[in-house]
Amino acid sequence: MNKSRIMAILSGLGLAVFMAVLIWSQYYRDVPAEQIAAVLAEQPGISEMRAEDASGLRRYYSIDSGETEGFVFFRSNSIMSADELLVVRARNHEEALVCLENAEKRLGELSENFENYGAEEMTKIESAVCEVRGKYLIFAVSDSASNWEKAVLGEIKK
Amino acid sequence: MIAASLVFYAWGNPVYVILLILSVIFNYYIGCDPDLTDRGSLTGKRIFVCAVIVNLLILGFFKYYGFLVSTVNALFKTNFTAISLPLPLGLSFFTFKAIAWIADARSGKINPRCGFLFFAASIMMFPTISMGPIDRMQDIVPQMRRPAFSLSNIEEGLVLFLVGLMKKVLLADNIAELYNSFRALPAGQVSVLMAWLGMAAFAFQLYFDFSGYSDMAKGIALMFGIRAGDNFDHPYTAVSVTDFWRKWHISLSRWFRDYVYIPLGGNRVTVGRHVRNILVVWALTGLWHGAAWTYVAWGVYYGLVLLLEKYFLIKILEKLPKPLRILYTMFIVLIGWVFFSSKSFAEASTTLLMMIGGGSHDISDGTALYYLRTNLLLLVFCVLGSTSWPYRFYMWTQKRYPVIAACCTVLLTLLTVAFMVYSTYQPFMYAAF
Repeated sequence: MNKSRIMAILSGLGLAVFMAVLIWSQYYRDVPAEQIAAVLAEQPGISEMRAEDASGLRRYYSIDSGETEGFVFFRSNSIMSADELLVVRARNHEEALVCLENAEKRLGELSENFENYGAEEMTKIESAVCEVRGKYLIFAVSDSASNWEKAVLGEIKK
Repeated sequence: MIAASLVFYAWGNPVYVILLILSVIFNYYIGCDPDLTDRGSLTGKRIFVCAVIVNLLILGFFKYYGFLVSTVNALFKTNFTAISLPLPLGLSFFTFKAIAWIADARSGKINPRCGFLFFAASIMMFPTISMGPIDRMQDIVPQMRRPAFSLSNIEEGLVLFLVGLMKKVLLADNIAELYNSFRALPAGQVSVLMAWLGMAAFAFQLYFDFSGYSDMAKGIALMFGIRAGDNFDHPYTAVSVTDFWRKWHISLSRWFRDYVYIPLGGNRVTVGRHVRNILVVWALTGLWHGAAWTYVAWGVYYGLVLLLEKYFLIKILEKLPKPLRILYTMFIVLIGWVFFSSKSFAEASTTLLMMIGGGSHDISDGTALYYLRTNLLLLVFCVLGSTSWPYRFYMWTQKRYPVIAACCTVLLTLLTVAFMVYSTYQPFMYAAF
């Protein structure tokens, strides 16, 4: 076998391994929202927030809870704070992406609300977590946002 | 060039640098395999097919996997999970360059043993990696070996870059506001005039955005002594749809002609097979643009129009005055952009309904007249910018009044910078492809 073919085969194998690792890194477990809620309840800052119900989900995110497989939604008790946490377990990845669009709109609203007078809140908003992992939407605005994200990922990551 | 390209590529998603490097190594060495050029042997054929499949698998995996899964889920009511991976920057562009390289190596058009580093620098070249042009490697590799560094090339490159930047910042980003306003209106409140205005705005936005990028890419490459190919030749002045596709995204059209259409038999076949070839090429062209059925419909629409022109319309069109032919082309192109700009067939059909005044849509209303009035000057600039007149006028001025030409360049550059500072970031539209 000539040197060119060996190099091509090796790089081809490298490509296959690279893609396999990428696929593996993108698979997530399908866990109930209640299980995620239980883990999040132990996280710092959550107990100082108010749990929102389906009407809150519709009001702030225009998401119909009936079209999801569950959600966890907390908002700050204070109107002076932008702290918010939403985890949606959508029915599939495509619907999670639709939820992501709504979450991005919500982030825009928060940004408009706190712009010009809430410098600390704006810092939180600018470093917010707003992402889709598998069929889960994770949206977090807080100083602890990355900890909450890690807690959720700890549950859903294989 | 390789170092600069790797840094540029890593800026968005560093992980994909591994993909790029492995892909470059794979394509270079498979192109150099001595058996590849042996057209009579089965081994050569197998190597070629294998190389093309590997490239298409990579493209398909990142770009079409989600689309395939969602189509299967919709058709068979299944619930397969699609993994969501960000599209590697310029994947469609460098994959096509690589396939062309391997095909040309197999057909003996090029000598693939050009030196790995020169090949890598050519395929990774940062100005063109993200959005093209999809240059042929045989045009770039020799230039990479002996880059034509010169003051005149730097000057020409800088002017090209500035022209591209002006197209993007002054025209594309501003006319995008009109299109966004159109899309923000409730469907029931859009008059026919507003719908056409909105789609014209989209057409201009897309053209100035993409051709602006192409000019900037060519300009930067030229400053490095590399002359990249053309991608646009004033497509909105085309006198037929056939002519339009000779002027729009030239490098992609050429790629599909050379590596799909001609191998399928081109037009030297029976009418039935020619129809099939055209439809296959245009469905693939649509699919190349995005993993959605609306893009496929957009491609097939052009395939059908091109067939109609070739077999029936061209003789009629040739008898018409040029302005009428341009109007006809723009009408077809604007209808095409409806599919291209829509996320679903429902959205496309709603927009088409608005454009023909179906349902309860008025011909014109206060909103449309307001947007027309407030954007009239911008629309005039867009129309003028779509022709070769500004360039010809600039060249004429530069020849006769070089100081005035230089002052105009400086003023326009300052205006562009001012717009960049005071406006929000608008990503390049073709970067998504």
